[in-house]
Amino acid sequence: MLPIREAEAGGPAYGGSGVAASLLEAQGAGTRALAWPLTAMRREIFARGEVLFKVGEPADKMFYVIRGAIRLPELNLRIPAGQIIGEMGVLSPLKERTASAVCEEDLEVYTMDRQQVVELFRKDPVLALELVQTSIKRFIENAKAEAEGLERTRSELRIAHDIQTSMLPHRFPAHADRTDFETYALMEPAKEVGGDFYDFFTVGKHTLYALVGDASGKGISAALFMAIAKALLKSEAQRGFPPHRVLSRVNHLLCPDNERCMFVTAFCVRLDTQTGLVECANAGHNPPIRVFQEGTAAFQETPPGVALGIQSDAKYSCRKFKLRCGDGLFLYTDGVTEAANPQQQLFSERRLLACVAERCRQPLEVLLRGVRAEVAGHALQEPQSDDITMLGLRYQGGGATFPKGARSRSPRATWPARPGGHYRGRK
Amino acid sequence: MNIQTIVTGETYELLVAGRIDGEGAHHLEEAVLKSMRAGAKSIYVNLASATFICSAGLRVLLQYWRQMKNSQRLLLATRPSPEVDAVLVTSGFRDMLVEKV
Repeated sequence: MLPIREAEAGGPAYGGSGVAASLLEAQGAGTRALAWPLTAMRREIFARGEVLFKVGEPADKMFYVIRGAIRLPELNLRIPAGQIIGEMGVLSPLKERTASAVCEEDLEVYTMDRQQVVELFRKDPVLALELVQTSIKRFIENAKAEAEGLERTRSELRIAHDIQTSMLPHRFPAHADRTDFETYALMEPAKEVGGDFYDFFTVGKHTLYALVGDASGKGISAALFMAIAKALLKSEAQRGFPPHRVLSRVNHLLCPDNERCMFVTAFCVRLDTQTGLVECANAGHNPPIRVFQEGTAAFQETPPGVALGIQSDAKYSCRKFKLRCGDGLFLYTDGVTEAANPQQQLFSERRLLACVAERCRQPLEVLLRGVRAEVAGHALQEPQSDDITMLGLRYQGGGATFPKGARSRSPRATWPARPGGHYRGRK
Repeated sequence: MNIQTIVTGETYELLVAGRIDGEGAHHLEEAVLKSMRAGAKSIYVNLASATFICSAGLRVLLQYWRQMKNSQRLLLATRPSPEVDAVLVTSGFRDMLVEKV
């Protein structure tokens, strides 16, 4: 802070009262010294921790700091002695505080109310102009700081997105050395990070596990819960437990200390790649679609089970069935079926089943990307509101008669429709 | 989404109309909290006119179902529309959250 005596020598008089103005430099005024008419201003004392004003409150005066310091918590800025504060609110057409101000130390300030500021424009236009320039400069600096903060957050979210993506199998074909099964999956979060996940991995030589899940909510909170749930599910599956035991054990681990009632829906599949036997269990998740080599598809019923993380004593059951060579499973999250168009009509399970049936003899990547394209075509310009995840699994063991991939493009296949609830794709 | 609150003594009924999406879940949470602070002993969230509920909306119902239960009070969902009922059934929370008629 510069001494007041210097102001007496060079500062302009103000207020018609023989003012001894101080020559003090306001923040942002550059090298030019400003003279504030302190005797026309009101001296006020505040104790450390006192709130000068809160964001959104009416801005009735500005402050010139003589001693102490002020913190602006929303902007993470410190205003030391020799600077002005609160001028933006006074000059703003909204006439309200743009940030809160708290005394970081015991504070001595001189205040100037709105009427005095108006008077300043008449009596000392040079000082008034400096005040406006200071305010504009500070506004620009604040905007720049906010933009930088936003960019930092975006950058961190991009990193989080990359970490989350790298947690999921994303190199395809994922099991290029295997001819007895094929997998493909995709996940598109609605935000930078999401709560959806999928996974597939072999345990031993002849067991394949596949998982799809959806943590409650969206964004960072969902992503954190998703990461925990996915790691636990994989860990328990790798111990070789059947799907219903995997879900039960993970549920038991997730329930304690879950005060915010986060939950995750999950579908767990275990495939014996020698026999085609599938065991699957459901924890509050959408039913999978079973795809048949003949070119039909149907929802696979599974015993109901509650989503993971809420009821520690929840019970889960297994459903067993056999896949034949060329049969498969299509797992997905509700972001697919609940994708809304501008009229808020949902994509629906019925339409998903039809889409899958139409493509069920195509390579899995083509099938999944085709369904994704149909969902996008339904949603049009409506923003994606939920994470979209799909996982395809096709069994090719048990005496496969077609080399991998060839059967998918066979134009000579004309398959009979299966009875009872199966959807036959258009030819 | 719109929420109308009907107060009968210490019983509060929240009539929810429209989509309970992320923003709707936030409004629902505010309405439930307001009722709790006002001293509600029972809160019934009427979902007859709710056309959609997302997982964040389910989480709000679960969280305050548990909080109310822990303080010997009651929160239940009532009359879910077919769309909302399907979500409650799939997630496995129907038996826990919905009033048995």
